[in-house]
Amino acid sequence: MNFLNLGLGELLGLVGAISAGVVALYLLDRSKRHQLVATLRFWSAADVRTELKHRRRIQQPWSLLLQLISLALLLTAIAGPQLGIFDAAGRDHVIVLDTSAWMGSRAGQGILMDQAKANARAYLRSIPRRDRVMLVRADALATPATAFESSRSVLESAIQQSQPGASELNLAQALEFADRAQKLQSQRAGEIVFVGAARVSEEEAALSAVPANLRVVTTSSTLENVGLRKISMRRSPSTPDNWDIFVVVRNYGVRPQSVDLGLQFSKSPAGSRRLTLGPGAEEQPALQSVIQRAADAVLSAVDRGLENAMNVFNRQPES
Amino acid sequence: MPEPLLDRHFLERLERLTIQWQNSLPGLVGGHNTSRFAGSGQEFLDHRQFHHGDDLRAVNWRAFLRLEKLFLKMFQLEPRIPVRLLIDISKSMETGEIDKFHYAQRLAAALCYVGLVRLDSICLQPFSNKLHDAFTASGGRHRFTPAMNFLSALEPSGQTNFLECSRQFCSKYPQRGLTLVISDFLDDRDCEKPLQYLADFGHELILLQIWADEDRQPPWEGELEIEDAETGQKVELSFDGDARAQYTAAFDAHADLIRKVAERNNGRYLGVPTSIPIEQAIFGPLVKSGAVA
Repeated sequence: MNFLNLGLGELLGLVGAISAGVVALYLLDRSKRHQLVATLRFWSAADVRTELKHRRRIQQPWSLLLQLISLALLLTAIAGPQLGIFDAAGRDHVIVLDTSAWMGSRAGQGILMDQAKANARAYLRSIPRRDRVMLVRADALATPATAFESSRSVLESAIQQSQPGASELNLAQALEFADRAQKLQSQRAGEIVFVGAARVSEEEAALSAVPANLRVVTTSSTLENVGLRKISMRRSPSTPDNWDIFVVVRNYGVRPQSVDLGLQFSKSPAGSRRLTLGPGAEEQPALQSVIQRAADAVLSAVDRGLENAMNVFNRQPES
Repeated sequence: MPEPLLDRHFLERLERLTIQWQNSLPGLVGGHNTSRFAGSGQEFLDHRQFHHGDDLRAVNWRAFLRLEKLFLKMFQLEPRIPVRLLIDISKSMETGEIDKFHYAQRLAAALCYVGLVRLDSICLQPFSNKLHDAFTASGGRHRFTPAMNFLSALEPSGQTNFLECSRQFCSKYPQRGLTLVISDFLDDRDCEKPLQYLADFGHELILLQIWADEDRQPPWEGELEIEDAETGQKVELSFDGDARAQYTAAFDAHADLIRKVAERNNGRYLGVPTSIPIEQAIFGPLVKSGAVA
């Protein structure tokens, strides 16, 4: 533990000295009132004399104890204690802000990007003002928004200007870029802070080299989404005029969902199935239909929102 | 310019009063209290047998012509006896929220004025551990201004020593008279013996004990450091309701002792708290006690 300008020992010494003064004042009993009287003869007659040693005891020990505790806390607060070794130069941190397309997803009243910005600003406020921070916007390509900057207003402005892009997140590249930036440009490396949803596939997550100083600040959104993960079709081996269509449907949410899976051929319904999926569950229903021209097949998965229609064509990363 | 001790309205009221004494004390003609001693007065008192050496001018010659016996006419004597005000100016008189010393000054001034108006011989005698310079005035109210100036110039100082002051008083004033003692009677030593000493010497005593409310019932509580105003001695103590009751009882016992000294010597005692206005004290308890009428 160290302090703004005092070591632990110095602070304890200061607290001890002031506490000793307070105790001395209590022993001197400042509450004792001085009175000038005409004579002492009746005071002694009233038998009210007390021994000096009785007066030396502390009259209100609880009050003294509370005062000493308050004094110690006040001095500690003034000293501004921080865990760790005193670092006058500060550290250089890198904030990797997820600006992938996924960050444009709706979450509550806003989008995921708003949550990520708020988290990034909160992190900025939590670190000492002497620390420098670089902001990196990460989607398919990691782009530095600022250099290592100590001005909080510049950094907050850069965070505010960050918008979700149109590409997916390349997490490995972003982390590598941040790590390299720290090694090359920072005087004293701090943390690499990833702020975002971090929606990457399991394979990509497994391949990413995680830096030792990585801190992940994820957005706490709970998206209720059901989507098609795979679509495949083949000519039926038995009847070459028919096509077998295989889909994989996944519930990405945390609540059970009932969805209708439909098949249209030439803008005409060709078949449908109703699926009930548990939280995080996948199902592979088989749709068989007679389709004369596979190029005209249009699949539409219908659930409660427009997102599902998009998910038919988008690749859904593992959460 | 300092404020006068007594205002004009109060002085006008005081003119109706007269200092009264009870004992028959020897003195010159011109007083206003009759004495049991016969003398050369104006009012006829009695006859008695003539003895050798009696003044022939007092023989009732008419009675001698009728009875052929010599009778002597006796006249009522109204002696003019000295009135002495012993004023305590010790440091203890300074204590109290209402200054006892200022109260004593005003009380002495009022009694002085009453005496001067009645052509009494007034002696203002300050004392503490000794008798200080006195001021004597007689002959009418026009002597009051110097007396008031004298009283105003007094400053509290020293410790009270009644015994020493009594000795000095008796040797300084051999003529017996009326002695009014204005004091708080808070001598650390016993003050009963010195007062008895004065009474035994023949002085008629009127004891006016002045106290502040704090002297009788200290309002303080808790841890106190009290200091004797006269000696500077300090005592640290804790004071509560029970101790206050004991203190007040001790004070009352002390006041009762002083009252008994006065009464057993045919004198008068009056305890006056400073919370009572001086005018009310004079026209109330002091008049009732018979010290003034």
